[in-house]
Formats: sequence, structure tokens, C-alpha cells
Amino acid sequence: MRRLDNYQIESNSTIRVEKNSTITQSFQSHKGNLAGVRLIGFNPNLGGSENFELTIRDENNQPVRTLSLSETNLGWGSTIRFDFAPIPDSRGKTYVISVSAPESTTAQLDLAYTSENKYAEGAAQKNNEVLSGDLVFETYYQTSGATIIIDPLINAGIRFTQDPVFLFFYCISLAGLIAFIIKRGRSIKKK
Amino acid sequence: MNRRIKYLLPHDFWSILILGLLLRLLVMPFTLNWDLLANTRLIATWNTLPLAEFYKQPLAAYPPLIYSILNTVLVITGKIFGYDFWNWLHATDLALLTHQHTFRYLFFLKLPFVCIEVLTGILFSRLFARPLQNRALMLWLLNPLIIFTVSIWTSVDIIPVALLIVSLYLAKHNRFILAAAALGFGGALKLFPLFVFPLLFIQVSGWRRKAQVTVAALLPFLLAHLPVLTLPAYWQHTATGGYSDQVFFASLPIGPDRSLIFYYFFYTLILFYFNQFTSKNQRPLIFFSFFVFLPLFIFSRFNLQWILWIAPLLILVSLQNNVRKLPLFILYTAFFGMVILSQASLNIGMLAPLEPTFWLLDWPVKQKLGTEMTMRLLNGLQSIFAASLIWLIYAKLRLGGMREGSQN
Repeated sequence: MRRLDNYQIESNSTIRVEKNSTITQSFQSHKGNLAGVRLIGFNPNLGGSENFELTIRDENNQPVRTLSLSETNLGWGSTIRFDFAPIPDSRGKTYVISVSAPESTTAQLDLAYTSENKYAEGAAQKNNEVLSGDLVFETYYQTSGATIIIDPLINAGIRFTQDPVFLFFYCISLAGLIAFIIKRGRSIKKK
Repeated sequence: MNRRIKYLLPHDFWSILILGLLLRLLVMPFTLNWDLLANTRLIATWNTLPLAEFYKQPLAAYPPLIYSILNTVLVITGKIFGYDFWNWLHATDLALLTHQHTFRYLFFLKLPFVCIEVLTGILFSRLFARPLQNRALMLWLLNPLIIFTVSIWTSVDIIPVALLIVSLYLAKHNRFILAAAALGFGGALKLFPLFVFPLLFIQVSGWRRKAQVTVAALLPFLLAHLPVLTLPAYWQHTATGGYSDQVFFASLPIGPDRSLIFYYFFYTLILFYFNQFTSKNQRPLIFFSFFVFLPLFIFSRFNLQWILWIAPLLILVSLQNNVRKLPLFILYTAFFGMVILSQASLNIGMLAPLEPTFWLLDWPVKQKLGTEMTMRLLNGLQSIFAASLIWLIYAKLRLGGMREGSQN
């Protein structure tokens, strides 16, 4: 199962990918087994047949995963889903997703974007020039076996402790109700 | 029932109540249905938009009174928690789900519904003879259908269902005018309690009394609808649009432009059946008040949260000792099977507060099995559900009679 790691979902504009215009977004992978990135795209040439290239680059700017994406498969406001074989040692590393149209002269694709800096751990760039805002994107990591259940529970536990007042009253209520049931059960058994 | 399970279940009022509260407490902060979020955001716009604009919103499908009440609850919640609550409510879905106070806010958003539901369960149990009250309460408070629809799904239908049960309680104590008013209030919140009104009309004797109960039921309904009487958008969304089309979809064509609508057909027969009883004391008002919804669950692709409308009927059947429980088990299994086969927002997606990834899932079962197979399975389960329901009602009528609290 692919679980969500990063997300940036604020959007107030779009930014265009076309010939000679490569858009990138850097992000921090908090988990090992980075396995997917999703973007939101608006294709102005619906039904076109040009190709775009999606690439994941590591900290050394080396491409680690690549996908060639046909314009035919791109809609208006649709999710661009780039799932790839997990990168096992991705935990704590910075990656860059880039979208380009290197072999096309007419391909155009607008990516959902916010002009404000809404993602602190990375930045969007256009042709290597740092932009003020961020792309709309989500990153996923692969889990399997027991971690499918354990990870969400650990995460939920951590988040629960971030609200100590509620945690305190919740646990007290829970303990009180359980104690009442046990006590009641014992007294009925005695009778 | 298995002896061991029977031994483990609580038998006294307080143990049942506390166990019921515990089960609700365990799920309330950690589950969220898309409806709760969307409806809460919609309710937040109640006082900010003119009514005509409000009812143009696709989700605005309920009568105005329910929005007024829920908006008041929301404003009080907002007053207690301040700006942080409003920021949370209007954050993007993923930001909301991962917010540090999500569990707290979900708990408090659900609390009024759960309180109403638990109190309704207590009142419902009081409709029965004393020896059956604790059993009825246990069947309500430990009922997975009710816990699922209210504490997890947060269906607003619990408020009209509560008023329906208040109405039955009042009718049981011969306070028919108040009972009719409660039904009218229920109808002012959602239209379905009004389908029970004809039973009350038949139940009271004398035309003067019948006129009184009619006025008592219509008055709250009409007063609550006064602000929207002339709004076409409202009538398109509530009375004639959306789910109403679904309820009246099943029909038998009998000629050019003419069909028998199954719901009306069987509903009318049920009313005649009720009218057939010669005296008020023999008429099983409580049973029939939920029996009238039966055709809806057999002849329509009902919304799964409507199960709350007939949950009391299932409890009535469960209270009958000589009705075999296997069909009841099959009915519950078929219902939860339909839940599991539905889109993610009705099953695993509800765990999104624990794991936000689940919020992004669309319809995993359909993706896995394909549309045709998923629909085939859903149709199969719906058929099994309908057959089990019919059998249970038949068994209750045939074997146990219809008297409330009859153990036979």
C-alpha cells in the first residue's frame, strides 16, 4: 500500500510546462521506500499526442526514476499519478520532481501551483530559477505487512499526544467507564 | 443466543448504558464521514447567505429548521474553541485531517448527535413493558447499525428519528396532540417522519380529535417551511429531487405514461392493514410506525444511512423470542457487506483521521474487482437484505403477533 508522506494542496494559479520550460519541485522524503508523486495538471491540448517527461532526481541531481507521459492521457484538472518502484533509502533525503517536454515543440501542460511559499521543506523552480511558491503535489511511500496497520497507529498516537488536554480527558473518561463496568460486573457476580 | 455471550452481556440499566457510552467513545474521535465535513461547512454558511443562494448549493438538501438547529450547535462549538476551530473547519481536507486538534473537534462535533441518540435509545426502551426495557436498551445501545450510522457516520437522521420516538412515547400515553406536534417537528427537519402521520390519524378516534392532530402536525411543519415556500431551489433539492427520485424509481408500467409506484402501493396497503384493527388498543402503533418504511428498503436503492429509520423495527423483531435470529444475522451481514463494497468514504475512508491516506482512496473494491462484478455483488447483497427483511417481518407477524413487548 502507498501511504501519504508530503502534501501541498493550496492552489491559486497554474504554471506552464512547455518546450524550453522545465518545472521542478523539491521535497523532503520523511520515510524510506519513496514510491510515488502526484501532481495536478490542466492539459490545454486535450487529445494531443505529444509527450512529457517526469523525472525524480536525487540530491546529486541524478535521475533515479523516469516516466514518459503522453498528452493523450492528460485531462483538465486531473491527477497526474507517477507511481514507481520504491526507493529504499529515501528516508531523510531531498528529491526533486521535474516535469518537462524535451522532445516536443507544441506540448503544453499547466500544473496547479500556489504563488505563496506553502511548503517549507522545498521549493518550486522554473528552468533552475527558484520561484516564490510551490506546486500542488503529494508524495507517497510504500508500506507492506504489519506496517500498514502499525504506521497509522503510531502516527495517530503521536498526533494524539499533540493535544494533551483532550488526551487527558479522553483517557480519564475511558478509564472511568471501564472501571465502572468492571466494578458493576463484580458486584453482580457476587450477588 | 450463545450462553457464554449471553452471560457476558450486561443486564442492568447502568451497565448497558456505560458499555454503550464506552463503545461510542472509542469510535467518535477517530472516524469521519465526508458528509459530516461537507454538511458542517455548509451549515457554517447558513446565516451568511440569503436563503435563495443557500439552497442553490448542491448539498443543501434538508428543510431549513435542521440547518437553524445545527448552525446554533456549530456557533456554540465555535464560541468554545474560538478561531482555531473555524480555521480547522475551513482548512483543506488533508490539512484538517492532520491538524493537532482533529480528534478533539470530531468528538465535540459528534457529541450532540450521540447524546440525542443515547437518550432516544433510553426513551425507546421505555416504550416496552418493564421486563423488556433493559433488553430493548441493550439492543439499541450495542447495536452495530446504530453505532455505525450515528457515532461513526454522524447521520443527521437521528434527530427526526428521535422526534418520531418521542411522538410514539407520547401516543403511548394517549397524548396524541403532542405526539402529532412531535411528528410535525420531525417532518420539519426531514420529511420522512410525516409518513407515520396517517397512522396517528387513524389511531385517534372522533373527527374533532383527528382535526386537532392534523393541525398539530401540520403547524410546525408549515411554520418551519414558511421562509422557503416560494424557493424553487429548495423544492428541487428536497421534496422532488435527488433521493425522492430514488425512492419512487421502482414502478410497474401499466399503460402509456402510467405506472404503479411500488412504494405508494405497498405503503397504502400497510395503512389499510393498520386501519383493519378494530380498536385503538389492538393497533400496534409502534410496530407500524417503522413498518411503513419497509417498502422503501425493499423497492429502492436506499441511502445506507437511512437504515436508522428501520433500526427500531429490527430491535422489535429481535425482542421476539420465537423468531429465529439467523435471518437477522444475514440482514446485518448483507448491510455491512454493502458498506464494505461501497466507495471508500463509507468504509475505510472513515478512518482518515487515523490515516489521512484513506481520504484519498476512491473506490478500492471497484478498482480491484471491476465495475461489473462490484455492482453484481452489491445487487446480490441488496436482494439478500430485502429478502431477510421481508422474512423477519413475516415471521414477526406470523409467529409473534405485533404487540409491542410481546415475548411469546
